[in-house]
Amino acid sequence: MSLSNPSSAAGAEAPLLEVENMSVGFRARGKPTAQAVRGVSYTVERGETLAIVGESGSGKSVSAMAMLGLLPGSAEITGQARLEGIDLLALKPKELRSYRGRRIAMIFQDPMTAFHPAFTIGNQIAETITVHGLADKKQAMVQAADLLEMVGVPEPGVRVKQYPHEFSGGTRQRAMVAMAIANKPDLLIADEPTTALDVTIQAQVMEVLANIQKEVNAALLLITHDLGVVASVADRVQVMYGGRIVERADVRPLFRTPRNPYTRGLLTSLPRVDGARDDRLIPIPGSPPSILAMPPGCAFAPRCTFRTDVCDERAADLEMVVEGHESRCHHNADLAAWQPLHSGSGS
Amino acid sequence: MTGTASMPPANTGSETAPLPPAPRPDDAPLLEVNNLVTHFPIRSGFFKRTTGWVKAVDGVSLSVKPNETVGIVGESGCGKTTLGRTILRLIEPTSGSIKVRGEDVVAASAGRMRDLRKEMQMVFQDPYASLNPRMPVHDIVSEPLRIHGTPKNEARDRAGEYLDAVGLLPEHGNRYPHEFSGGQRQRVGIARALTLEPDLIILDEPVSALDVSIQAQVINLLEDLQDRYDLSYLFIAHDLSVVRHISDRVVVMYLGKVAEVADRDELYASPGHPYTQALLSAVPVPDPDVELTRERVVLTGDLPSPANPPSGCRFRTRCPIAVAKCADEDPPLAEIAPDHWVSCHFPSV
Repeated sequence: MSLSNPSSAAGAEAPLLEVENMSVGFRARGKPTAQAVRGVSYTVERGETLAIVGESGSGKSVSAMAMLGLLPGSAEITGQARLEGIDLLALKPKELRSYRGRRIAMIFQDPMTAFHPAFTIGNQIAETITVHGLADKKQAMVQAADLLEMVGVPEPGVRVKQYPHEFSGGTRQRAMVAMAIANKPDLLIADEPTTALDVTIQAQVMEVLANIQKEVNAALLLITHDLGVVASVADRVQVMYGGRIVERADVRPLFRTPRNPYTRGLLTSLPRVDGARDDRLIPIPGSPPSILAMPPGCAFAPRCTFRTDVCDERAADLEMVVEGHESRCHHNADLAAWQPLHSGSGS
Repeated sequence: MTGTASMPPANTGSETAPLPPAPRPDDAPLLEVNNLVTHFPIRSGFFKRTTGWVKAVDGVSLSVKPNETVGIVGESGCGKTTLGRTILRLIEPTSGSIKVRGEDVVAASAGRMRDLRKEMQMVFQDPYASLNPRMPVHDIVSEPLRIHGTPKNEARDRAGEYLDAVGLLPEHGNRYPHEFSGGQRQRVGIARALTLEPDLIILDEPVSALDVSIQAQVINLLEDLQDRYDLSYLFIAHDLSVVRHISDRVVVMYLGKVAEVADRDELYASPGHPYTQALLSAVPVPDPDVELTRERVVLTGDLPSPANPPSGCRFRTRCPIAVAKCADEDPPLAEIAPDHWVSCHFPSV
């Protein structure tokens, strides 16, 4: 099976989540179907942190939302997403509801819009507990305060009775983390959890999220465009471009010896605060493709310096280039000779 | 650095200190800002009485030399955007002085201000909101010229030149903003800022709305244009990596005040203010090996409200080394090393 990774092959335990050949398209009248996700397969192990990296329009968020049944009715979803063998995509909405917030929880980018403005924070956290029948209202409110304390919100007894607008951005995001872990889920999906936050607050929230994840032993699917955040928390990384996974590896090989031209382009185009690279930035030319007009072959071909005719004709397969490191490129063999990127610690 | 940065920040409530007589050498600053204060009234009640002030910018001094890029960093709410807009008088300052080549901008009449704005242009963060959706790009880019009296045909030709300079094709001029990607739209915004041949461009988060792979294109473009047209930049951003890359000198702001000013390399290598240290250590580096070994100063708490800033040093409520003195005395911006200014009672040297 192409989606298995080496750790799952070695271990006896089945992975927590297996996504197999998932595609998501959006239909609009008079327009071609917008194919946002095109045949994505991956696994998430218990307790691990898998980062999905990509730019806007790469399909990274849509692939996660589809699993939770959070996409509008115009979405056409195919493939499977099995949580411990149960295909979430085949569940009826009512059945899926018993998973959402209990076995799988989501942390959204913007905590202002994710909380209901007219209910107290405590109320909303408690609701995620009572809705699954795990406690009565009174117990749930006590738990809500405990959860806020766990994520480091000061004076949790007071804050549970407050409304979202009384929370600052960082505290609100902590409250969202508290809500997500309320039922000790097996899988946390965090979609750009720190993008809306200032850098000092971002560090606080990521620290809380990483600690909590360990405490409840949840797997974390971290969706982000921020390669710095990925480097600091992820175990494994998969890079998406044009609705497909183009590269997948453990975090260190991915950053040290990226095998896909797109990943390498991303890493060399980034300025760094530690000054490891100070020369002129090397941008990726052009811009990402529109999902309404995907190139027929490799989606990255129009921007790629290694493009040859075959790249325009058909997309490459995601192939194992070295043990545990996969890349989707027709030129995998040539690119194996690439020098590793410099480590910042050496400067 | 010049004498202007040695000005102590204005203590709230005190009258503006007079400028020390500064000699004007050949590399005299293009822009000098002294003790600039921008307060916004908080109005409430039926009669909309003023019940308080949001101290967005509260005594900021800085200078920009010809051909220099000065970066301004800080978190949201630190006043960096208000500072940029006040310098162009898009927002009227409450007090303080702004001088361009020695000429007072604050006192300038409306007519004179229009001439002065030819020398100072702005590029905004959101390339979607800052371009008129009903105007073709030619008109957007040539509008500043037409406002300043250039005949329409000539303005159009000049607009074409600047579209070319920012890497757009001539046929792009006939298209509307919605037909462009975010990166291209930001190029249009930059072309518009260039048409009046300004000396100084204030860039307010010019790349933060763009995708990672596009950011580097725009940063490189800005560097090329600076060389080609001898521009000075005031580069306002929250991304410390981008600011490090593009700036010659960096100003760190916290809650309306300057916390630290230094040359880029000095600031990033040996930050003197505990806030700068925390900021730098909080930025994740895209390198797992570095991340493993890094020590992180995680600040507790949130940014206090600029309507009700803490007494004494504004950073003390989140500062890991604050003592009683910090609550009583506002530390002045002092030179701890040549051209390295820090507003802290206990700066690291």
